[in-house]
Amino acid sequence: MIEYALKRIVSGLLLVAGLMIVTFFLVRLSPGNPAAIAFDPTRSVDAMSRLENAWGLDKPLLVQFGAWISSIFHGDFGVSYANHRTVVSILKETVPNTLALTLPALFFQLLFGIALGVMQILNVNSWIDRLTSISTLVLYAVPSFWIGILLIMLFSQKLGWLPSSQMISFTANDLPFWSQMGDRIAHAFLPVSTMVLASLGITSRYIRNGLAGIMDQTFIMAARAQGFGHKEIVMRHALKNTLVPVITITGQHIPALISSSVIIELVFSWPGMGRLMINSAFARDYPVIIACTFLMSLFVVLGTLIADLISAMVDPRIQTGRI
Amino acid sequence: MVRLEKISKKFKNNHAGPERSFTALQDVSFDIQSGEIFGLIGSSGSGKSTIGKLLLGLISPDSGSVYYQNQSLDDVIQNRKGWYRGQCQAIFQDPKASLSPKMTIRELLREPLSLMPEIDSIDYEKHILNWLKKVKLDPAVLDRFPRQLSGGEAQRVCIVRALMRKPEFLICDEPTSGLDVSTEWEIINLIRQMQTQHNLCVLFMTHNLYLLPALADKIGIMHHGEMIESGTVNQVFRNPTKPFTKELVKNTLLNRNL
Amino acid sequence: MQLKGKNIPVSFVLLLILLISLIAGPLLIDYDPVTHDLGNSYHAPNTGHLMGTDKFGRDVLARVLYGGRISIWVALLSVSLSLLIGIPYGLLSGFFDRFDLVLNNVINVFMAIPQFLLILSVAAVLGKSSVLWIVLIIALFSWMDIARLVRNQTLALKHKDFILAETVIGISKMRLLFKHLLPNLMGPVAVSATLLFGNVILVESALSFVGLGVQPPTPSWGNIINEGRQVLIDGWWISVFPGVAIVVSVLLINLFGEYLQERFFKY
Repeated sequence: MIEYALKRIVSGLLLVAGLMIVTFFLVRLSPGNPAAIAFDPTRSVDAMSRLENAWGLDKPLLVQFGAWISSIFHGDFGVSYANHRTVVSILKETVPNTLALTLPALFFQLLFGIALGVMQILNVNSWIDRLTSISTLVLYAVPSFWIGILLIMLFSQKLGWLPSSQMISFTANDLPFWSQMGDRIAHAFLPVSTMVLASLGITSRYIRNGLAGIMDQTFIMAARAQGFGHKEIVMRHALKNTLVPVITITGQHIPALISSSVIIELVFSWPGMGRLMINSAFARDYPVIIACTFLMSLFVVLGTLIADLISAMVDPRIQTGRI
Repeated sequence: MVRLEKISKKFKNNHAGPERSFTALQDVSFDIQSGEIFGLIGSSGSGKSTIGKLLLGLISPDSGSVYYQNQSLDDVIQNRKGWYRGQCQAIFQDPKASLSPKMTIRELLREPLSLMPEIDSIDYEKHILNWLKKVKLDPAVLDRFPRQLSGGEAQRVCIVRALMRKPEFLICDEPTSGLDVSTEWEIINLIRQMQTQHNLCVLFMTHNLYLLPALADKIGIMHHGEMIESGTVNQVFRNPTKPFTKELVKNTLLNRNL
Repeated sequence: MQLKGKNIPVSFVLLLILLISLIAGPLLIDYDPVTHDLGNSYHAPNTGHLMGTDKFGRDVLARVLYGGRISIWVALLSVSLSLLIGIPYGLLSGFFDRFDLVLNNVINVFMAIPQFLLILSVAAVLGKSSVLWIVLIIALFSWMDIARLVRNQTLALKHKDFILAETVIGISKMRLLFKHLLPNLMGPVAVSATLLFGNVILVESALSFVGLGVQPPTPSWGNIINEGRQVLIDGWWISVFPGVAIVVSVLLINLFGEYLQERFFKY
């Protein structure tokens, strides 16, 4: 186990090194001059080159890359062009907000995904199974931002039940603790629901098909032959074996989750990394764009690494690659 | 014609296990004269297929040398690979799996011809029909795909593909073990007949000893990577030296008497 | 459905109908998708304007049909480009062991970065939102799935008997790759390309929705939804109909992909 874990960690580190190179150079090699955008046309050309000089944009690209790497090890990720603060101090405000959105979304998506999948297998090939399959296939085809808009239209504008933007009401600071919590949950409800709906299709299909595959295996037949009922077999024998696939899909699903959080934050004006990234992208705030892309990719690498390690612990066959 | 001298080969063990490698061949030596059929017997894992791959130049030995027409095979593969591919051909155990699944039999039969510049492409069809007649295949198979053929038909196609290149040396790696018994003898007879017609040197690998008296001039018996017995058919069958061979011969003769 | 004795999947027929209506539809509609007609803004769906009109009085149906053309074009070009990159890349990586370590790890790095983020940041930094640039950017970050699939299939196929037999016959490596390996990969590749097609439609619409894809006044499903988002109270239909168009097309494409999957993988 330790040998396998070390191997996976080393390859994860190499991947991170690759990510540093790819994110930096992809963003920096694209044409477009941030100084020209920040530059106020009423000032002289001289001022623009001063700006380039201050940001280090006049130095060779490799020197800039070196400076960026050293900024990572200093723990500040450089300074934002847009508001002259260190990137880390900006990220410190936004990353928790993004996690407050993605972690509950991940949890509920797994919960409902497993529940739907199990329900389908319990009633396999019945109309419930078919109807759920069709609905999840439809969900799979729906763009997440459009779900968000439909939810806003229905629950905020038509019914007026839930807020449609920001994390908290302006007046919430004066409220007692529990009402403040309620306010936060109300604000998070629609964006989290949107993310859950957007990924429910893929999760529940994966779990349903995984379970269906297990139901065909010999040990299930043996259990059937011993006289266990269908429900007992699903709950006691099959479900246990979906653990590894569930962990794997969770790991694999993190990129999609993060991608969808970017756009959902925009729809719901949620002050997280995604909105920060889009705003920085429009402003060509290179240090922030690169840091966000890198950090989000880092989450992905970490997520897959943890998922791999947990599945290897649960199922030792994975370590030897014999599965 | 073909000579192996003290060939050893180890393979790395890819799966996690106590041993890092296993020995496929240990000090194997034998030679085959031109126009001769050499029968190589051994169960699966005895090292037969490794010998086949060595002779085809697909892998090289750890120690020892292989000679083809008194030239080192390593040199031949390095300098005259194209020529050697024409000299040495092979047919395999599963004839249907050795035919590219998305091509018709006609396309498959044109392929070796296209590698021979001395044959004009206008004559391809004539050549193909000639060959089909030789191996008693109905020309109707030409427009079919490999999966639509029977095992015997597919092996005939493989034999034609191999012989079209006018090789002098033919390797047969268990060519009949996937076929039923009557087809098996048809294919054996075909190989025998082709061998005399084209004066081929043949290495015939099998795990069925009973095929060999009718076919081979000399035989060698492989066991756990070593050649434990070799000689003419009569020598091996009359006077087996090792206990393993004695047992093998006894069982084969018993079965034939049934 | 049956045609000349061959089974034609329903999803394929519906997909064809969708494509034909996207190509021919604009010809049947009198309204211009771009020109303003301020006297007619915010008409709810009615017999004259089946999907209503937007803030500038433009017919939403006309805009959805024109936008669909653009979305389909972007998807078609991006998928073709991804295939053009991914197939040779995967063949090379899977067939030649000495390239595989580097090539496969490049795929790993690209796949670790959330695809949409990369497309987003490059599109933003580039600041050029012509349709061709969008195609290039999407393809640049979509070829990995195809390459990975082709690589794994090649790895599995190259030890098959018929590849060994062809090697022994003496054909060249190039011929082996393109005449013998490639035809046997096309089934899985077709499935993957179909699913990628649906995915690209989603990515393009998201990019246009954010404002980094197809730029107004040129309509695209994503940017129409974005325009409608700002006026949800006055005109719910502006955002709703292009969304329905996305869902229907992606759903049909995925259904067709599933059909291909069943055909190619279940024997």
